Amino acid sequence: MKKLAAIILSLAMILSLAACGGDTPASSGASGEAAAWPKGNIEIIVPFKAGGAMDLSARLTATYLKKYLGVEVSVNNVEGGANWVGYHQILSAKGDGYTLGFANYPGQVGGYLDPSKKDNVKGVTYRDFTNIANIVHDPGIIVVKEDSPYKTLNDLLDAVKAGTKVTISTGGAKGSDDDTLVRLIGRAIGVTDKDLIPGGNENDAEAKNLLLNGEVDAQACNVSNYFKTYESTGQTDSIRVLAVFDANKQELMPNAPIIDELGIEELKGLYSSSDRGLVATGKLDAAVLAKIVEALKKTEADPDFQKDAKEQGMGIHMLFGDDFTKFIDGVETSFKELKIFE
Amino acid sequence: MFENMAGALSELFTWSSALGLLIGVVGGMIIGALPGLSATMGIALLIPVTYGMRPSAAILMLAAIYTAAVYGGSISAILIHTPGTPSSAATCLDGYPMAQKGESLHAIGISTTSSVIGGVISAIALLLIAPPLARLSLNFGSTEYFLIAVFGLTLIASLAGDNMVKGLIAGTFGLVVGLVGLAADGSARYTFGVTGLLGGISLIPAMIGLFSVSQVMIQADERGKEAVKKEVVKISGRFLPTGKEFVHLIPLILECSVVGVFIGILPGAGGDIASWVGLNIAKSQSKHPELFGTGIVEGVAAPESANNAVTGGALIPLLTLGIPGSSTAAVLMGGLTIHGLAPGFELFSKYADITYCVILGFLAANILMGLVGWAAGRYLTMVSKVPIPLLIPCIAVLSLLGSYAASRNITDVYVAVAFGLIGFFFRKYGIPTAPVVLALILGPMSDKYMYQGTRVAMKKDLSFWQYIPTRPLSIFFIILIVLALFAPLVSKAISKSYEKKHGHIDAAEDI
Repeated sequence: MKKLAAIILSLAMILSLAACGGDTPASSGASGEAAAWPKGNIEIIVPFKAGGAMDLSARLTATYLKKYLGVEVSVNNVEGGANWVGYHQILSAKGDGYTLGFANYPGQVGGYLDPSKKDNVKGVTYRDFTNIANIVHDPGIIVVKEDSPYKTLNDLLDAVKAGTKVTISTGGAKGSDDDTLVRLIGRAIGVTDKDLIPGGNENDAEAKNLLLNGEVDAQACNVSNYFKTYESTGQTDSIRVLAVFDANKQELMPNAPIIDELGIEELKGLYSSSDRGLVATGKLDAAVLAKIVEALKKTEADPDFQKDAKEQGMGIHMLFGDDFTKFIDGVETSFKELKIFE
Repeated sequence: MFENMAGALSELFTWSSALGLLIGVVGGMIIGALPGLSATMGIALLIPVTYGMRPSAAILMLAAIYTAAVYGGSISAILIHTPGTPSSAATCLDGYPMAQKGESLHAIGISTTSSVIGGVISAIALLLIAPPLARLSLNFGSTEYFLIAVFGLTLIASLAGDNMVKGLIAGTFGLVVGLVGLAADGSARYTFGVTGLLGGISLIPAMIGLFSVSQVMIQADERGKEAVKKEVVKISGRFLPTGKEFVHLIPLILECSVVGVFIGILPGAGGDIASWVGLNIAKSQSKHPELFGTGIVEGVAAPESANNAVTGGALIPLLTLGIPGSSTAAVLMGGLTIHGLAPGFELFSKYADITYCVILGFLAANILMGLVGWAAGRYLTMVSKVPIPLLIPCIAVLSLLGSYAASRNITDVYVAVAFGLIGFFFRKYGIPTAPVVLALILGPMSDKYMYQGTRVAMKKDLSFWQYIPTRPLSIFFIILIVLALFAPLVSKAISKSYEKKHGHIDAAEDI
């Protein structure tokens, strides 16, 4: 009996320790009047791991919010639940503006539209957030190996139309921008995903490896993945960008053709991107929101910010208010039209 | 390789790296000498502590703990006839009799010399084999990675020790747990609507639970039992081997080291297996096999060189392919992950400074370990006198803090507690916990690469299974898998012949 008691006691100790760790909101200070905001430090919840593209974007934004708001702005990486633990934490924060968050698109939208994740996401949509501003815009690209038989995007599409099956590796599965891009191209030229095949749930590095070892014909990824080509692979062969799926020429990739200048009728206006923006709970105070927007507009015009962003391979494209909402709505609509999750 | 050395050396000669190295070596020896604290558990607990450190210093510290703990375990084996880690169980056989004969310091000296040589050889093997293997891995496609994962899973049977059924229970449990989270096509699987489970069961909290929380409960469980009073023998004898002795031992040490490196490379097989294989080699080559067990130097040198040689070997598949070569290496993988370092060619190209700093530092750790052991090894027995009631709460606090710190997700703390309970019952019923971790890593890996391979095969109008034989490298891995299926029968035969001759050794549990 004594033994059993000892085990139970040790378990009780562990459980009580665990209970100590319960959710304590990290937001600081009492909800001061919006006019005096910010009085204390601001925390940005990033639902992604430290060191990744999302994290870097959030940290750069935090640096300049600090510069223009005059208080400490820290980044808190809350991983887990395929980013939904973090998203829920952003939503449950107070609307006092001391807790903000970072979100990515289409990832967030793809997450809540996926019926298999319905119970985990708990009915959240982009409408539950105060979508403050889009900050980073990273257009989708299709690349092939330099020695690929497909010299242009047209070559690749002609081959698919003639019945050749083409596999394109993607950084992410259903719901990611890479996977969606492949499906959008397939739909536009009238073939299915049995002919123009998106890859599996590999990450960007694995997708690149599949391209280099010749298992796939092409890779769908983003400008940021290749803006400094090939510093890290150590291989002599290189890649060729077939198209950038954006309306504008990319400063980070000046020599790559944009989709509209390729003269492919079916794909005119087919744009794809991964976007990262600053969000907060839906309860965010309107006066606070105005102050954050003001700080971000100053950031956007800051030459130091532009320089830092360029060095880190981030294309900046700020969208505020209705423009931002309209953009996310467009992402949602395109998913629904593609019927990926049906 | 050599073009990266300058960067690696400048990374190594920073204060943080040097400090990580020293703390790793000394801390590792203490962890190893404490019966009940193995290298695996020590690393699982300390990963979260490294969160704020530079990646190079952090990984270096963890690797140093690994090798130093395996060495430190031999000191308890020699002085109190209790292996500090499972890797030193074989050392008890001759180490303790040597100590009883009044040659305790000499036994520690032989163990130190052999461990250092074994460790240094494994570090050199790591330096020479890992970079070309990483380059070769660029040719591996989805089918090869799938088969490598399956190869690792087949070795679970060999990890299982005496009872294969129990090993398979553990492995299957790990596979089932690995199903939780996002399936290969990105949809949610077995998450039961819990948001925190959408990303799957995180490795670090699961391992902290299995190895540390369960240990707390096991210790509490054993409080009632009458403690066997372990007699600490007196410290006496010369430390370093004589020149003649060294010349006599060196061929054996070298052979055991090479075998140890090889065992380390095999997924799942760790220092415990290597030390028995090492002892077997020593016996088969000896002119007087009947003297083993009476306290002869060969019986210490062979297992101690083999088990330290495992450490560097186990890091080879870990750094190049993301497949841990031992359960300790599996925990180390969690350390790589939280520092954003993905195993593979990028470690040897983009992050070459960090990786080579860790490898060179690991080499230095093995030498430093010898120096510290020479100067202070004899005092390590004091460590084994630390009262367990003091140790238990410390481990409990560290476990839960650690499981939260890794990703600041409260679900992870519940995961650690749940896995602590599971680990406790597993160990009570003699089910090994190492296969759980291996399956938890390799299950999702095989799942993912099979899905990927299916997509790749679609363009050739083949199914995944039809696609595999079209790749020569894949055929090579299929042969390896077939060989691995017979490995448990061989290793069982070896351990059987041992127990027959020496009786069963009451080793610390395989954790």
